[in-house]
Amino acid sequence: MFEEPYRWVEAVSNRREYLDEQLKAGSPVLALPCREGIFLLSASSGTQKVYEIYDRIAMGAIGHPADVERLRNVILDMAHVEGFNRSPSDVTARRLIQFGLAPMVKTAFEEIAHAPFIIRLLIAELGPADAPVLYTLNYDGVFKEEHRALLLAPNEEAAERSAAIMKTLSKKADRPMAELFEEAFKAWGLAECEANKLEAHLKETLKERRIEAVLLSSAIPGPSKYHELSKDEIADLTQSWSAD
Amino acid sequence: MSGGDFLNLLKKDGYGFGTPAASPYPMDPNGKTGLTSATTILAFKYKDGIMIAGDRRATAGTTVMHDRADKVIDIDRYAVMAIAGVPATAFEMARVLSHTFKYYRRSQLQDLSLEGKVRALSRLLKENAPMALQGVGAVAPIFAVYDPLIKEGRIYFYDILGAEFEVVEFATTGSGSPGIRGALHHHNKWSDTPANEAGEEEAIVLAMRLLETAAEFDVATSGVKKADNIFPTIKTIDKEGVHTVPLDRLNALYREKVSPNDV
Repeated sequence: MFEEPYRWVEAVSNRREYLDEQLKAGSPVLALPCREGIFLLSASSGTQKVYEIYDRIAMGAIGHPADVERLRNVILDMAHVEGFNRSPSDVTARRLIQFGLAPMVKTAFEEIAHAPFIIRLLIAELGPADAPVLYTLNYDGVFKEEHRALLLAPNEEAAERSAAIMKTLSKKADRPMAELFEEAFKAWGLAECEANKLEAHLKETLKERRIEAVLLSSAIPGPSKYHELSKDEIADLTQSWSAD
Repeated sequence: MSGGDFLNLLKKDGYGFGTPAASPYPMDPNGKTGLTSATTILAFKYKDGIMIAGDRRATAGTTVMHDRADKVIDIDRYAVMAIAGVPATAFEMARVLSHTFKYYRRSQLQDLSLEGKVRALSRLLKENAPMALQGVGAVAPIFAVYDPLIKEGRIYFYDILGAEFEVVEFATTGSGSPGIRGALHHHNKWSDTPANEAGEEEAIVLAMRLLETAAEFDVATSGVKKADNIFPTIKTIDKEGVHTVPLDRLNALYREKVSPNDV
């Protein structure tokens, strides 16, 4: 059936449409370099969206929970075996993406007789000298490195709605997270709804969903630099929306 | 999927922990390995949590190999392992244990239970039993951990085969331990301030005095060497987690309260 090149290209194209359709309802994940390190933000109704991967590495994902889980386990295993056999400083986001996840995801995407990974993910790392390093990986295996604020959006329209605030946030990496939180939450919200519904949407999100807010910061004591903000910490940051 | 078991994951990758080796040392028919566990480590409860301390000497027979060894090792934010025994095996155990806890937490999205942590070390010791019995890798550690459920520190010691024992007040192991075991019992029974009522400063001073006592009677335990700035490793565990007592604080307390007449 796929032996003719044209059919294969067509099948891959169909698969792209299928995956875009599957991902469009996903809740965005935002990664924001800030004074403390890197701030990650999302909201979930059930399955967690932001995860600790290794001492200085976190992951955020949009996609099918079972696929997220499979890939999360792959990099967890890679990171911990590597960190044990060599050193924690040999575990880097680039190695995990370039030699671990990307080839695996691309192979699954192009083997059209099998199911692809329904996933789009983001890896955040406190790199050398605590410089923020961010990677995105698409369902087709394409990955990209970034060093500024980044939004993992479910589709292009969502990304466009948040683009202006994301551009502003990218220029504020020297500010503390608490100062950037309001803008970050708005950027995240715009990726879920139109601007005229933003206020109501954010209030509803706070009521109905679990806010996932994580800070990767070298100021956190001990080897693990991953700190998931507690309910109280989030309540302090979101007082203005929760007041009424 | 590994189900959060880091040791199994390592084994799948070809790692062999505690694999028996062809040893030049035959097993002693009386069950004695002939190994020295040349060190002194101790842990006791004080008012705010647990004090855990160890001297810095590493020996091979009668030779001092190193006088700056750290035998009190952070395993995670709330757990510390102090090692007596063969350093190669002990440090490897600490590394496996540390990765075991963090791998479990990250893969299973919850902390390993306190019982699980205690058993994880027991399992490593059991897997190491062939090496220990061959006389080349015995380790007798102390494991101290803060229990968030009862909001209290807990102390366990192990034999070289992996049996675990929880203590009520204190644990000591290593070649210098018999003397200070008696001293600590005496202190708790008849002094005005038993260890579990002592504040942090008093507890640090007590730990240093005990290690100095051990060094007095055990050549394999090093005392403080002020000239070389060598002090014991002392850590505390409380509800905030593990803290290492800084060198300058140890230095000041040593001069003031452990050996004030020592010039």
